Amino acid sequence: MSDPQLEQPTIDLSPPPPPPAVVVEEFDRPTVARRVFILACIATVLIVILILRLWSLQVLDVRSYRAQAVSNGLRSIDVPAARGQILDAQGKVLVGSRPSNAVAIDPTRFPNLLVACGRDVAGPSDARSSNERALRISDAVQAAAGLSPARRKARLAEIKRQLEVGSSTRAWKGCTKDYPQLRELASIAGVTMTETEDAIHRASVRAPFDSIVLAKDVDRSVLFFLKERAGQYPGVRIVEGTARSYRTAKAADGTIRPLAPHLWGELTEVSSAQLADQVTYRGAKAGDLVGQRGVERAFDRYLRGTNGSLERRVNAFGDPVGPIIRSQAAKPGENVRLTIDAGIQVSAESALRDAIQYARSHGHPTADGGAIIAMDPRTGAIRAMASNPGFDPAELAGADGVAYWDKLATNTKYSPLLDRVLTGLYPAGSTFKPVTAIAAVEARDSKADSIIQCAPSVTIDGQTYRNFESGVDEPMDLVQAITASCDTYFYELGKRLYESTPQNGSFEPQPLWARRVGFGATTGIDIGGDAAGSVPDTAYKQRRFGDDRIHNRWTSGDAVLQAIGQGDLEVTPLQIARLYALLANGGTLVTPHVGAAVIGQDGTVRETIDASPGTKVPIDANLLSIIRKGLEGVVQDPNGTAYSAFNGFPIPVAGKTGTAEKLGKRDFAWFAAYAPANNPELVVVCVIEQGGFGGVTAAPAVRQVMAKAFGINEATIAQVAQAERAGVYSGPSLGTDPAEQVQQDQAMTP
Amino acid sequence: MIFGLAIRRFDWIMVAAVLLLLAIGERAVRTSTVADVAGDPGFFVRRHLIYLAMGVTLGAVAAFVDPRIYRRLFWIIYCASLALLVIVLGFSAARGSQRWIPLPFFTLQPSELSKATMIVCLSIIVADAVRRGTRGWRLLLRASILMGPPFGLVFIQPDLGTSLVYIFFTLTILVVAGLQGRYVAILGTAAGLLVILVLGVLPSIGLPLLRPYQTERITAFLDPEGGSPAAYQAQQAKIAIGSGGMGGRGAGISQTAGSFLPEHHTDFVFAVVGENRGFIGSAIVMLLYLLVLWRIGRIISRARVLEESFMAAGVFGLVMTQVTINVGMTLGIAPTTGIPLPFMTYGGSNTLTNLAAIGLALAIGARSVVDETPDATWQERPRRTFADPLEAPVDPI
Repeated sequence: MSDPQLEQPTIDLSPPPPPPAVVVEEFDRPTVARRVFILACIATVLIVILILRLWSLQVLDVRSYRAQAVSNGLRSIDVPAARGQILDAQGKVLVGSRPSNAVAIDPTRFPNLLVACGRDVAGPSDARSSNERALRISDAVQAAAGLSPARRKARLAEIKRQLEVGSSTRAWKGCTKDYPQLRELASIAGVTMTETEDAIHRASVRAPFDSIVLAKDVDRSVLFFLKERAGQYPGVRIVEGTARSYRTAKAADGTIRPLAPHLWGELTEVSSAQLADQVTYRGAKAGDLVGQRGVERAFDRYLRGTNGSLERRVNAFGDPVGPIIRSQAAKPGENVRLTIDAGIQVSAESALRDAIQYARSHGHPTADGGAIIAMDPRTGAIRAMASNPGFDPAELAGADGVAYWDKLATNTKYSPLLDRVLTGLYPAGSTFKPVTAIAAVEARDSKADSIIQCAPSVTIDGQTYRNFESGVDEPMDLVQAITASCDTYFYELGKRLYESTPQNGSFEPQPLWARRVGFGATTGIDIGGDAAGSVPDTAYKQRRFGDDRIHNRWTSGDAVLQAIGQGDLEVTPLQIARLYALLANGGTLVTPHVGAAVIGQDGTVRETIDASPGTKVPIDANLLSIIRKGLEGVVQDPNGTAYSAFNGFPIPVAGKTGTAEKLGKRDFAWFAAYAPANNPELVVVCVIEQGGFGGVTAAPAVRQVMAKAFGINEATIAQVAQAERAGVYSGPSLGTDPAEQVQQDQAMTP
Repeated sequence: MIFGLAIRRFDWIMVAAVLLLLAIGERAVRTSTVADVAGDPGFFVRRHLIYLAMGVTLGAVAAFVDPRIYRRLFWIIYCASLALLVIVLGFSAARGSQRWIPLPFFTLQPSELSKATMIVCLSIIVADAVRRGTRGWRLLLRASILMGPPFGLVFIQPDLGTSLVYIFFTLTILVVAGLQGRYVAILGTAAGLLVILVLGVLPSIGLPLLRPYQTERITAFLDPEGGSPAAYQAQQAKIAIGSGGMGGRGAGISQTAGSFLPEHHTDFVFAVVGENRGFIGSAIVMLLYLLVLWRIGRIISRARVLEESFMAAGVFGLVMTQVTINVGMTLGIAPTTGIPLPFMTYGGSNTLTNLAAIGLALAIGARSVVDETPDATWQERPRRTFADPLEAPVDPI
């Protein structure tokens, strides 16, 4: 508008501006088309190659891949068989099964959890840690055994990589901090985070692919809560299973105690060595829980049952996603009836506790433990076996079982895991004297009716050996010597046996007869695990002392000490019980056993468990009856060492006390007896470690067990002691405690 | 003029093929992720549908935008892409290997978006160079100068797969631009040497550029029985595909839905199709990709100007490379690399990128030289001459 001169020509001369046309560029299109054609050909060839590959995979190889896919998604799940019950002689359930549910997690649903929690305890350079690592790998191999080769390889590679992560102590602490769901879950299941982290850590060490059990034995309400909200807690598993439940008894002091904890043994996964043992573990399959000791092990083949199986579709995490395709029901295990009588067992345990308690409060504060066994002398059927101190088998099988086991196993003062009936090794003391009598008479070194002076002391080969009772000095026959437990009488027998023994050790009547009546060897008890003990002889001395000319031979001292059950002689309470069964039954060495019969689920007897018959030991019948007379005198003659303990007992009892010495320890109290004396039905042996005089500490406990077994209603030793203290007791006296006397009157001087 | 296009000028055959692939992909994602999130079977497919809606919208916008506008926006596009790649590298440095920028709704993967933007930028640069008569190594140099920074940034993430895709679409563009065979060979050799350098030389001198899982994937490819997780994955993919047979096992509890095959909705989505729909289904998918490629090829030679021809060539290279590498990996004939299958793989960034690329190709096709004979195929087009807008000699080739 401002300058029309400039504007005017532009408007007039120019053609109207063309509409914005499509710009089309001149370029060599056929050449470009040729290049594009080449590209298109390349693309076509590539895609045809891929289609051919598809053809080969999907049409030619379909069978193999489909089979792999199907096996991938099918899983056979074991349905554990219910383990049979262990019953007592009357059919009461001693060990049963109860449902037990655990909350577990699938570690694969928590990425890197195992890596975070799986750190080594020790550094990678530590030798132990490399062992652990090897163990872990072998565990992992085992755990992965059920997987397809490709999966197994993948998992093993993964675990090997995890194992290379080394770190310092408890490095896994706080390893769950990135998993809020896990924290929530732990609080629902009622476990602490430390426990959870430890459980995850242990699992990463042991079996890294299995579900990790966070809480065992969870309450049903927790179970329902989690099942209802399955979607909210992915990776959480409820493991429904069973756990062993153990019979308990209420003790006199009101505490609930598990019955015969030492007898049962633990259940753990079968080892490869055990799988090869097709006698004990007949029919066991990898992964089965089998009994590791005791009754659970001895009768595992009956108790175990046969696992069933379910086949169903699962996803890659093992979660079931479809209906059950095939199923085979589990066959529950059979029940096993034992010869053990729950009532006698209860009384044996309380008698043992009472006796230890009594010894502790009566001048023997170091009485640490003891054992009682009650056995039928005719068959070897064990009616009760008690060992003290004990433990709680339920806790051992529980969530903190490993820690509990460690605690028990490291308790060297009391060794609560030790079954003292089977493996407690003690000097026999005077309970051994009948063996000396048998050896001396059978070897013709003495006669059953020989009279020997029971002097306060004798001197043999320059050594003076004193009698336990220093005040006695009179001639005695064998019956009187047993009744009064005269040491000098048996020193003399030992001396005679020594003198008739050839120096070359070719014939040694004393150890020979000890072996013939069952010492120095295991008893063959059906549950196994018993100790052999030792019977010293020339070979033993040579083995022990080698070239030491002074000590490596059999001396008169050895013979004299063995004659009263001392020296290096070591016996178990079970062996003593067997000896007294032999004396009671007239010379048959029975095989002790606890198994009676296999009872089917329907209650019928499927199989009787026959103990091997006893062996007849050739002992002169007259000699045996003389020994038995002596044993009867121990209890029934007022001069007998156990007379006061059994005063007023209505059934005739025969027995022998023992007050055995062990270097560095106080005397061990023994009492071995059978009843009724004329027709023996029960042998009861009691030993109290460092319990003092056998007639005072051990004999009342035996009385208590016998009273229960024969249905005699009387006060227990604890009740008697309490009544005595209160001054209201009017029953038979328990006798004076000769503890101080024992201290002065050493049975011998070296 | 931008929105004045006749709808009928769009390549509806390609649109139909792509939509069909999107539908098949959605179905595969849906069936394979039913059990992935406990209690929410639709978790993944809901997100996938949102990504698809966003992608289709972006593709439609790209189809209507006149590609000429990109020349004006060249520097903005180029610099923005580089900036995003630098940002993601910062995230990577801060939080370990990371290819994503976390956004409120989804995580943005700049290396994916850059595939599309770099095709545009490279095409413009190469077209200008061709018009000026630049050929041979000079052309290669120009292209390398432009592609160097984004390639390097992706490579050091490290995202080997995506950087390979960059190389291949660059090659496709240069081939269409007339780069002589020997230079193509040089570039191919350089790529090979690079791979050797990364896999062999650098780790041996203590500079492992690849992360352990990447090395493992290559090892797993070379030794499929080697037992690594990557080999397990590849093996499971083969089992899934192979078990499909001729007609497929149908959607249900399967390799893929049962989670035996990890990454079943992302990198291994083709295995889901193979298992559920069998050979017939997977061959149809492959033929659909071939159809898409042919239609893009048609657009390349008909584009009105060189840069648009090159852009279409870039899209061709992008789709071809991703399809062959991804399917090859699923079928066990290529190593496992994190390359998505266009239009099918679950995920926001790659869906947006690939659909935007298709939109770009549609836009170019809709503005291409009018073909009066509808039946004529692109090979048979008669030679026509047009005025050269830049008065530069055409590369005689």
